[in-house]
Amino acid sequence: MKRFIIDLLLIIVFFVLQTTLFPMLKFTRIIPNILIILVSCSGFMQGEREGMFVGFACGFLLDICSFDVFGFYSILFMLIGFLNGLLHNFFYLKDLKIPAIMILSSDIVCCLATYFFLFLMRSRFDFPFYLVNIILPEVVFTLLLAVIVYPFLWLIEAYVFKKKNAESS
Amino acid sequence: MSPLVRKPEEKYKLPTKYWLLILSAISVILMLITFVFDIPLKPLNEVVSVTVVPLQKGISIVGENLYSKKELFNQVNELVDKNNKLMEQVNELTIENNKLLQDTIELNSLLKLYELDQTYSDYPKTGARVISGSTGNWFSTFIIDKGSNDGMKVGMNVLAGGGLVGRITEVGANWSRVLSIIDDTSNVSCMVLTTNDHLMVSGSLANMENGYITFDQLSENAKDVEVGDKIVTSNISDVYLPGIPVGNISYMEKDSNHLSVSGYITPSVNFDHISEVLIITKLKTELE
Repeated sequence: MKRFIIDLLLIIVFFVLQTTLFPMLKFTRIIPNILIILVSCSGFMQGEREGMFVGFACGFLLDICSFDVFGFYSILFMLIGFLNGLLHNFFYLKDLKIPAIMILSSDIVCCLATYFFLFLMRSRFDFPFYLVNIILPEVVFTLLLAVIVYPFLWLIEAYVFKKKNAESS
Repeated sequence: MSPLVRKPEEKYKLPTKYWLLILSAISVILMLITFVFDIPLKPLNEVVSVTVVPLQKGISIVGENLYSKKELFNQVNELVDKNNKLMEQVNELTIENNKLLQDTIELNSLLKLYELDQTYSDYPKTGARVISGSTGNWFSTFIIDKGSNDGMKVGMNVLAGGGLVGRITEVGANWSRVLSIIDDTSNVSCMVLTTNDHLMVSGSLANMENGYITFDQLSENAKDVEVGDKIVTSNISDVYLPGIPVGNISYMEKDSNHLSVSGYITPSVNFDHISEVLIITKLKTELE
């Protein structure tokens, strides 16, 4: 129950950050994908079950607020959460390399899927342009943000849920 | 441990793989419903109405206030200088305005003769605040703080700063989603103001980096169209009301088929800084 409430709060807060705060700050035209950090981390820290549910909820909100084909982001984020959860066994709280790789690859998968299904299918063939101008800046920006967000999620995991494998396993 | 001592039985949980299948199936069905049959999902919209929209409203109001305070501080000095200059200009313009007023009166009487007085400035409008930007970098949609409770309907035209911004594509109780004309999936049927030649204006993610949207399907026979010409929404469009300014042609080029002309348009609205928009509360289908 505690987990459910905290997850729900995190999803709403991250979603509001993504849609309201980042477009308002406008460092660049590019908005970092903070939701993918949450989805990737929930899967990775809590297992495939939680990753799947958190991913589905995030994708669901995105679907309502962004694009006309309802369900695309739901299924994409759910799969990303689930796949991240499969690597749950490699989770040590003190290690930073693996989460970084996980978040990075999740974001790349998300971008590539968006390009492939929603742009290439409408005959937008100029992939190098989208790679350099949209995908790369977003991935870099997201990774930088993950450096700030990950310890925060880490703290919740370690202290609120008293994760046992903080040192061992 | 003795086999007789049993742990209290755990609550049964549906295995994760079944959940995965069920949720995937739900997503796929929803995708089919919205994409193939094009049915709006009313009840799901209300999820956002209660969860996210109130928070977004709060943050955007606070953020805007902070931003405007900061701007105000910076601009006080500038404003004093500007004010003096503007006062001079006001005097000049008042004289000019009187002249123009006379012209307008004459124009109105002439327009009445032609029954052409329905310009976009006559449509009933209502203001709304933008409470959420686009959710990512791929699409240019945003959320405004008025919904079906305020009489918003899907298909209503959205304006800002005297130009077309887009149209409403989804309505919840207290929010609506606007698809802007710079979005990669957006197409607007337009015409050249001076010559009434029809063309199709499409948003383009690739050209938006340079501040352009693209147009095509302008007939090669439209010889009088020049760079700098004003583009307005066409009277044959089925969602956009006629005569709303969209932008100016900034580049044009004959297509390789020698039948049509395509090029770039600079939109009249600055899409980087939209915080308030106007919604025309009349649908194209309601006009006779």
